[in-house]
Amino acid sequence: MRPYSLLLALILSLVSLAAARSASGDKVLVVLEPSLKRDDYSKFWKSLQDRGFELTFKEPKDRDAELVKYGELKYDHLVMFAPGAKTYSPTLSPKSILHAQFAGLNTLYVLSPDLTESNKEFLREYDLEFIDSSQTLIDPFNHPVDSSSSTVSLSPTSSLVQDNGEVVSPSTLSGGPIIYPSGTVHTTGDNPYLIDVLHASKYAYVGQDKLLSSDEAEVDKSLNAKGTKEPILNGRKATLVSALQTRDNVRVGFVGSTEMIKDIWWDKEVKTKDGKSIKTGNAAFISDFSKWIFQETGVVKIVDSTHYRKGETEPRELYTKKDDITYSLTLAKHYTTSNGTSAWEPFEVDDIQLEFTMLDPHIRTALKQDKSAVVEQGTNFKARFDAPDRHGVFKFVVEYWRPGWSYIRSSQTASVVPLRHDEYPRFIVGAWPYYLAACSTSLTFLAFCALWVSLGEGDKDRKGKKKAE
Amino acid sequence: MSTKQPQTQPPAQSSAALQSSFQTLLDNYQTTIPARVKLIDTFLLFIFISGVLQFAYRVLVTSYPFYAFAGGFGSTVGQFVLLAGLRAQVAPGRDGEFKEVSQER
Repeated sequence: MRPYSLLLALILSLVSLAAARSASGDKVLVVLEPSLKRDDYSKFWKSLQDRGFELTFKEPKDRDAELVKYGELKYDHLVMFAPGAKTYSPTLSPKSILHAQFAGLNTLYVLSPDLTESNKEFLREYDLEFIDSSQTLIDPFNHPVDSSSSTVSLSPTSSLVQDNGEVVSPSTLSGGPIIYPSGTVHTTGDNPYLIDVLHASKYAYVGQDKLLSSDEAEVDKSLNAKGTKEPILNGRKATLVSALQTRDNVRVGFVGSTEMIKDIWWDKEVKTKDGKSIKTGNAAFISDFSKWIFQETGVVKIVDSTHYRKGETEPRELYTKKDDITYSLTLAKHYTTSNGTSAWEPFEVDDIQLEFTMLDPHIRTALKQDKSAVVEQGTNFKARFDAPDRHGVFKFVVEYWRPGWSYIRSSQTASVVPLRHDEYPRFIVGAWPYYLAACSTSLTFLAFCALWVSLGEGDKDRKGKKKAE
Repeated sequence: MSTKQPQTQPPAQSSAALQSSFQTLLDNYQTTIPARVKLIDTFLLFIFISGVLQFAYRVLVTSYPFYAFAGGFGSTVGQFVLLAGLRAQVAPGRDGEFKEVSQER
């Protein structure tokens, strides 16, 4: 009996260890379009399950695919694998998805050139604009030899991926080419929360992947001569994969091609023009990107933030002007341990600033890493400054927004007050002449009064004279 | 008498005259001014010097605790004004102007 229960406990603990990699949760809803075969993407599903996620598959029209139940999120993450869906069940409507995202649902949208108008309409909410449905990304120079030019081979990866913190890992950047087969292209708008992740090379362009017959070519030529040619979208402007992180650190990702996730490109070798066989970077890229979307990488949290006066340890509500104030902030970065558990480690950066604000920042100073501080998991940053000679309600504000990292924002309120009546310095050396003068004036006045009284007799003559007169 | 020999020793003459007039002034002061008024004058002189020294210190060294300067300097100025007023009343020959003030002030 006992060994069994021990074994059970061991298995249970192992299961719980394996199921805790994301910083937010491990329940994933996959909304898969009926026209797409689940088995074509089995390696992607397997990689997610290996990372500890529980996958639930639904179809866009399934009425029981609820995101929020009784006011609580039913899933932590959502994979929208339905670019061609024209209608959704009310529980998966754009409105309810946005609502769930406000509540904390991380979403990965997998898109394709077959993107329906209703989907495009919805994606404009994120400030994304897509190309025409019939068009794909084409690169006649960079594609695997046995594939058409719409199967774009993106390499070297490092030149096509923006530097966005931990979104894509360094090993992926130096890895094999990312194959982007028949994928759509979008442009990102001015939304400051959007970040470009992967864009096309400068040889790639947007168009239809078909050979024109001579008649069609003639027609095309005459059309072009009239100037109907649309502006060419290529290079950095042609975004293939982008992401959005809301102010609440909810992450939404957009991948422009369903094909690139397929098993046929997952860790497969492709032949390049010069005859070499290279392993594709698709598996690594998609894994990195989904790790970021599902809050496994690039997650930073505030462990502790406090402020205190010199010689004290507790925060005060009131600081006197010119006080020596220390602000302390502890940050920790999420990471996955080798046995698959979620843990926090130091987060070392050198560009965090503290602002001591009353309407405007009165003091803006660097938060420097304090290596002497004992922190169990995380990094301690400190800033020391003198309170400004300005009375009022101030805030200690830290805002650290970097693409690819959780937004760090912290705000604490404290007042700065003038000296109390009994806190001013007394008997200042430089003022002794004034003190002496005031005292001597008083003392000589007393002496004067005494002498005045004692000299009173001198007046008797005058009075006598007056009376005599 | 002094106007008869102006050219022969003018500096010695004038300085001697100045000295003698000054002497006369002192003698007159000592003899005619009552003791109380002399007391007032001594006090006035002391306060005046104190005030001048404080202002010099404020200009040349520091006015840092301004309230200390204001207190010290203000006390001397105030005392000076009040004392000068008293002197105007008790000086000999001013009885006619202060009829309403009693002698036992």
